[in-house]
Amino acid sequence: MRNFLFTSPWRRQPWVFAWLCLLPALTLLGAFTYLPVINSIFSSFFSSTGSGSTLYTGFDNVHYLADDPVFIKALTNNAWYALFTVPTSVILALTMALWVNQKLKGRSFLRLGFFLPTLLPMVAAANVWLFFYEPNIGLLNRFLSVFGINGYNWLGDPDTSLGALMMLTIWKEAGFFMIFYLAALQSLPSDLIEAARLESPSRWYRFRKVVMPLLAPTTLFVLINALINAFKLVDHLFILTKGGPNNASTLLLYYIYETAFSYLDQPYAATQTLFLLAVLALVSALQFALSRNKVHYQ
Amino acid sequence: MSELELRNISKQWHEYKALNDISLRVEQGQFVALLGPSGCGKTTLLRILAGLESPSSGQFFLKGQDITDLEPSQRGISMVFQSYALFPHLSVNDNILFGLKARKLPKAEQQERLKHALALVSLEAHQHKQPAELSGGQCQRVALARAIVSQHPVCLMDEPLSNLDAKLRAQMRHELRALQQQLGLTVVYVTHDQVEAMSMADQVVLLNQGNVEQCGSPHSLYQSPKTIFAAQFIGSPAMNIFRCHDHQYLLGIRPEDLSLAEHGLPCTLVKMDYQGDCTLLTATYQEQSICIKVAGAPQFRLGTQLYLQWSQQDCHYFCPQTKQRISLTEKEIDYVDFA
Ligand SMILES: Nc1ncnc2c1ncn2[C@@H]1O[C@H](COP(=O)(O)OP(=O)(O)OP(=O)(O)O)[C@@H](O)[C@H]1O
Ligand SMILES: [Mg+2]
Repeated sequence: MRNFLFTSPWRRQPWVFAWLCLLPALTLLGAFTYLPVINSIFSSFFSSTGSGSTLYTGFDNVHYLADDPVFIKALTNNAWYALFTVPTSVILALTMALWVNQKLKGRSFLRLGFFLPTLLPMVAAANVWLFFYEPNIGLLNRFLSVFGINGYNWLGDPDTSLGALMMLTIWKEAGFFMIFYLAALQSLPSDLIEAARLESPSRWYRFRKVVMPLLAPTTLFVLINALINAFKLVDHLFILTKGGPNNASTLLLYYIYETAFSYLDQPYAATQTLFLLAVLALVSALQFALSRNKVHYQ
Repeated sequence: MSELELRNISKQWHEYKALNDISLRVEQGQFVALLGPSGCGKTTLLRILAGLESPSSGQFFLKGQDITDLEPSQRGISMVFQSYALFPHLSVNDNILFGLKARKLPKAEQQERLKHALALVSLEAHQHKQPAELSGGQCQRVALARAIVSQHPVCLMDEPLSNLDAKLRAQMRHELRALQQQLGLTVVYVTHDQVEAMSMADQVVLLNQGNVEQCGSPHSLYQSPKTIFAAQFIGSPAMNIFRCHDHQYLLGIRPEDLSLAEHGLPCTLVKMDYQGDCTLLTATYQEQSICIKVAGAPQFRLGTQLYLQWSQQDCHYFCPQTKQRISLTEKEIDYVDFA
């Protein structure tokens, strides 16, 4: 390879060779990532008319965002959704990982059990939970009927429909994140753990001062992923609530989908998408910045 | 009452016996070296003492108190790991203070002990650094300081110097020994390096395949090895063992105790190995290979006939069946027919 690089015409123009190497990745990224982004930015400045042609409207779409009650509802819903599902599933994941990392009987069975929800596609999982929440024959209400509570419509009530979606998300995400924690726990240097056992009588102190800091890179990774998933995983809405009732459980991405493909307002959907992108980028940047001093990479 | 006492400690993993009925006493302030070849069970024994592993059977006493089933942190024992095991996310100070904070000692006392420990290992200049910013020798000192600061009476060390280069190792050996004597620590020190064991320890415990082969002062291990294994393990190069004519005894003579002379046991030189301060000669006598250590750089040609002599007091006798040392009376010695 060296010889090839240094004896042939490449030597005089190494950048040609470099660009050739970059070409395949650039083509794919360009065609499927950068172009659509640019296209979205571009089309957000237009408005669709009934006849299918577009009209330049400048920043009207952006102004319209702030006045759209459904968009505001989707945004607040999504904020609550993230605020609740992210910490819960991460803490649950860590707890389960700590549990199945111990020497106990049937632990590989447990690990599989915790991981299984992850293997299901979101749509299939949502279908399972549809039966779970079903008002009359659903498992949840069957169980509650033992205590005399009957026929509650979990997905049909604006007060509970978002909560019901959250439960499914936590159930599905926790198992996935557990795998990361489990892998991290198993690659912790055993002598560090043993040194901590010799020095600290309190298990909680060891967890707080040794295990957690050593897991920090994993936690950062898992947190960012959980947060991004909270904004981009909406498959279950299609099956369970369709954002309803009365937009009580709608989420940003689902509303974007509806805007684009039900109301056929592509430019407005593009504006919303850009907003979502900006939020996600900001959140990730904030998280990296905040954790720079906290996270120790080995 | 001994500081440490092991009674019939055994450790078994499934079928495999890693430790076999180990009994041992260590006095207060002693420096004990656990010495043995790789895989003989040194680390296993040390981990049992630390409480990181539980023995299959047997008991372990500290100052007469049975602590076999106590948690590692309850035993009053500290440990220095081969890899140092410094917490990478904590500064030197916080690494050293880790145990004291965990035990909720008063702040003033913590700072006082920290200052003292830092001074002992001369790390004051580096106290705010992270472990990643330290050299190997400095990491070693932090690990040492962390063990000292707890003021536990007993300190365990698992090959603490094996990751250092030869020169630093010699220096740390010296410092470690000085520190141990200054603080009156009882130290159990695992090593597979006999020079370390011989030069630092008050008592050497030689392990072989999970058994105590011999236990005693470095001097006694070198002067009167109890078994052929001990004789060949201690000393470098290993002791020569000869079969005697009548096959009743095995005769052991160290290479450094053999000398070249005008007459004596005739043998043929087959190899010369120049080492700087000395030369190792390998010669054969009736198909037995003999190693001789001579000073300087003698100029012989391979194939030369050499004559070996030795004095009677440097001879060690062993039983061919039990491999144990036997002492012979004057009369019996006269009877040994080597040539
Ligand atoms: N967890 C374990 N399970 C099974 N066997 C083990 C375990 N730990 C150690 N052993 C076995 O016990 C024996 C003693 O191991 P140990 O680590 O004590 O050796 P060592 O004397 O410290 O050797 P070295 O000088 O190479 O460190 C070895 O044969 C090893 O294979
Ligand atoms: Mg070992």
